[in-house]
Amino acid sequence: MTVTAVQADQVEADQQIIAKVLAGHREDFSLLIGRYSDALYRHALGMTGSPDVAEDILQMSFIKAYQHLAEVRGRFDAWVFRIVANGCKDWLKNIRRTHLSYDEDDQPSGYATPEEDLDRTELRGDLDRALAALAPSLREAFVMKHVEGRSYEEMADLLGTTVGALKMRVHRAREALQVLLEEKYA
Amino acid sequence: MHDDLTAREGHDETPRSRVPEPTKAGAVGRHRTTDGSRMADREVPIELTRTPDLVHAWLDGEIPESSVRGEEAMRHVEFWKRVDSDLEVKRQMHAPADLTDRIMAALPETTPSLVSPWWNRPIEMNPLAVAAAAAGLLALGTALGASLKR
Repeated sequence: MTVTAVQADQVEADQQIIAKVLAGHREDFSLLIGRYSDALYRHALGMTGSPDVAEDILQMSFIKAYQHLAEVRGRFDAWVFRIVANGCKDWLKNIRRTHLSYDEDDQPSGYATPEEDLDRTELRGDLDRALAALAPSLREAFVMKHVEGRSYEEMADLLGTTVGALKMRVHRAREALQVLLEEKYA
Repeated sequence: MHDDLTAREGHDETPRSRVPEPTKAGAVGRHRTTDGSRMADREVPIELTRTPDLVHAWLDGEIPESSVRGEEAMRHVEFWKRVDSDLEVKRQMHAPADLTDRIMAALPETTPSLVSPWWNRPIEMNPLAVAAAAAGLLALGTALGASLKR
């Protein structure tokens, strides 16, 4: 694992917070939540397509992280990312098992704000539906690359796979999305 | 000529046909042949969906856009520029402002501690308990010895 100086500082800062929480300063756990919740939320939202589900997964993941905080070895951010990523995959498995339709209840209608025009809202809805149509592993790789902006090396580190395998997943995800969206974006 | 990406969960990393089946999400567009005539969704020729390697390299940040040449490649570039403008919205998403407070309120009151397996836990006994256990074992041994002598 390649750890830059910035990452090393961050790991140390996280470890100090963890030590304080374990010493009884429960409120310091909010620092860890604040530090990583945005990136984790984007991941959960990209994977599930639902803001409500993403919030639930984050809440459950941080509670689990708190309960097992004494077991953290190394990077807290990588550890909690894996909890969230597994939470997303479990949710997707359950959704398949219960035969819920992606294009109804579980899909957000888009993340439009009032100032955005209707046309772009529709396009985002199409993008969300196309993402939902991808296999979870392809969606995960695409979201990590193009939404979270992670490098292939970082993705490989977090997912425990190779850079080559992840490149293949991202490339296949792009080509699948292009087939699904070609007409809308043409 | 067709590939169901959803069915294989993406675990197979070998290069295969790159055209996904339409799925129930229903966002499948119609496809055109090179002469512009419409084709059925299941008859997408591979050459229309195969993204040039240079475009992948550009999307991966390995080469600048100026290195991507050719009409077909530029069509892909334009497509991904449009997608990217929508992805940018996703990149700007933040967790709800009150999420931290809600998580903190839902945390257990007890301080987390390392839970080790029972065989790895230290045994703590006070001297009185040790003396009582020793006396008990001695009494048991004496009783057993006496019964064996009979």
